[in-house]
Amino acid sequence: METLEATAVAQVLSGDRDAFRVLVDAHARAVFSVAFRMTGNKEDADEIVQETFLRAYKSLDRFEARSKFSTWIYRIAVNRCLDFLEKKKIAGTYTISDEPDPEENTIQLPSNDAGPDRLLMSKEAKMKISQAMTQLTPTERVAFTLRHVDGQSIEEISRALKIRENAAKNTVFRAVRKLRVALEPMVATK
Amino acid sequence: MKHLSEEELILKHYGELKDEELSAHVAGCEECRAELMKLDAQLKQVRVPGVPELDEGYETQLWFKLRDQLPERNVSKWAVWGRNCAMAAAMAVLLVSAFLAGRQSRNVVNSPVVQNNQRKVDRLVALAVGNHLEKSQILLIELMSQGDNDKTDFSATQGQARDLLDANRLYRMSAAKSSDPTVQRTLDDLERVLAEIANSPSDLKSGDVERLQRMIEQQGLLFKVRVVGSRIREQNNPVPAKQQGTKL
Ligand SMILES: [Zn+2]
Repeated sequence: METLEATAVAQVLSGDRDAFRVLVDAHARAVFSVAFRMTGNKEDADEIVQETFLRAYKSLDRFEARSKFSTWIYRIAVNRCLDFLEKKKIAGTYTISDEPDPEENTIQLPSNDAGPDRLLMSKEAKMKISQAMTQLTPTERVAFTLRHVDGQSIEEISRALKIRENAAKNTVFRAVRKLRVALEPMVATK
Repeated sequence: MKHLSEEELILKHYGELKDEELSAHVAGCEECRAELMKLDAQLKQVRVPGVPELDEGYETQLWFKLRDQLPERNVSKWAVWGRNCAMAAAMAVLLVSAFLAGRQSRNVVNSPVVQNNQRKVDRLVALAVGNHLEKSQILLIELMSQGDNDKTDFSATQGQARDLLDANRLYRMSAAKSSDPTVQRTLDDLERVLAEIANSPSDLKSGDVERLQRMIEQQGLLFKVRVVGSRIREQNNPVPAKQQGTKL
């Protein structure tokens, strides 16, 4: 697969636009997943997917053949997400995920979590989390999602967002702290 | 002893606490363990909605949306040179992996993951081969329409044939792993003709063009390339649901 991708990159760089399709095909779903996890919205994710591939196409000459294309495009996608969230925030429509997923009104817990904590898994908890998520700045939201959902290390987050490792770490800390503040009263009143 | 700070607990939660002394402390300290469990429980509640299932034709739809937005590239000599290097590197990787695959083929496990990956690779090979056949077809048509007395510069055509020849070798080996013998045979035939074009003298003598044309004709190559190419294209661009029996 990497051979095919390396060939496709080389062909695109030599002027063969159609060769780019191999790269789109190989990574479209993964890019969509990242975009959806960051925005929680299919239309927004679709827009980000297109922007990501356009950006990748235009800056393909900066892709180093030694690195993995999947990592490279992932980073582009993450930055498109960040830009997108920033724009939304400026436009005053930064309300991503403040509505709970209608199909998932209660959060499912693994069975070994039975007990008093289960009571917390209510619609109310979900609303609180959603509201807390909107309190995060775009960078906090992206960094937190990368760490918490995508399982990326602090080091990878710092590389993806082009910030220092300490900054990445502090961004994740801030996000977690804000979320905890939102959840704290619920834990206290149990 | 000093307990862990909230930040250290967060790192611990995500498996990024590098300090072994601190990790050892958590293991032995009930207070820190309780704090960590509370944090674990809280963070477990933070979930993002599951990613929705995408249509089977998602990639194709995306490609058609994207294609016209992609600007033409200005290709420099350096880019072409780089491309040739990349192609050579890709060939080397492929040869090594083919060798390793050959050695390991006895132990191949047919797990769903392996099969799924293979399907994906097959599809990418098909996309690349489809594009390759389209370009080869253009070259063959050009050559077939060339008169014997045309004084057109043959070196550009030869350059293209050399690029296509490199790519052809790569795809032929990739296609060898897939199950389609027609694609394999077409690439075999195409490779012989491309090699012939690439290695002909650039100042073609009278009769040379004719010889190449005869070779293409005798093998029915243009026809094969066209048929296999369009079949691959159809497979890669499935017609939306209405033709697959789904109601409108
Ligand atoms: Zn302690």
